[in-house]
Amino acid sequence: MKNDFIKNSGLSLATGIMIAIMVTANGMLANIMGTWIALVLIHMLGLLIAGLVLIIKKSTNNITKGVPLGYLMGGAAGVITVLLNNFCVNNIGVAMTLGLALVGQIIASAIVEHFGVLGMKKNKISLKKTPAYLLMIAGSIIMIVWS
Amino acid sequence: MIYSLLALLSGGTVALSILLNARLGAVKGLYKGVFVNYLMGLVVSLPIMLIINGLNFPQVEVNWILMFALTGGIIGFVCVVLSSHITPKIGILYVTILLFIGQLGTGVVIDGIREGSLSIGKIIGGVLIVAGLVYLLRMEKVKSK
Repeated sequence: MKNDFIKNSGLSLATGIMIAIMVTANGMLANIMGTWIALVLIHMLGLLIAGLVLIIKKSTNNITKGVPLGYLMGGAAGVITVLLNNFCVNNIGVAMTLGLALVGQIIASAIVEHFGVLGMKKNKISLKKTPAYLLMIAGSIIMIVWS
Repeated sequence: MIYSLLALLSGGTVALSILLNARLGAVKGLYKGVFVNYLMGLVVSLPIMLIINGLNFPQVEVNWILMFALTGGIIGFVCVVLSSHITPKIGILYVTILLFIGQLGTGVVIDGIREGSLSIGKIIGGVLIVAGLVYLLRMEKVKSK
């Protein structure tokens, strides 16, 4: 049980390391091939791997059947993420791109939950959480100013 | 400054895609969900590329740098699959914190290698952001008990 926890914690950390390497690689691809061709190649390769896994698992039936149109927007949002990351990583570096993205992600999640939009359970932003947001904002400002 | 704002904005799109992809995964299962997600990514990005670039492809040298640069799309797939396997086991709180420590630590090192020196500002800023994240997630945990 404890070993399992350590293993999964290690895997989480490893996934984080891979994300940083991925963002670096994608940024390099945008430099080599140009912004838009890189954007297509990144999604094409991901699609290829995902397709291969589906073929190996013999689960190629009804792939797109019954998917609500709104859920497809996740893929579109992902394209914007990759595009923005590629712009940023070549200009402000990997650490700042990912650091500020996390702060943006937390703020966006807080807003979504505060208003309970997109079918999320309402979870109001409380004053008790203020120190957490202040720490994150201070961290962001230090990153931006001091580098 | 403009890039800092774009980076913040990219976090917003991450939150949106995590939310929608989780729903997609619940309907179609993890692997089909990821496939549909990439398919949608291609449906959106391909026409934009064709409009802007036409069919002009740059002549590039095939070397190790290009090979490494092409791994991004594949690593992305591995990360999505891994994180969705780990999350139910140890909880989204720990996963979020550990993912971020891994990302930021590696980011600082990669930037350090590229720029020739480690940035103190990025390290201190990163530690503060992690501290804020831990504080926030601990409060959520207390509340959900």
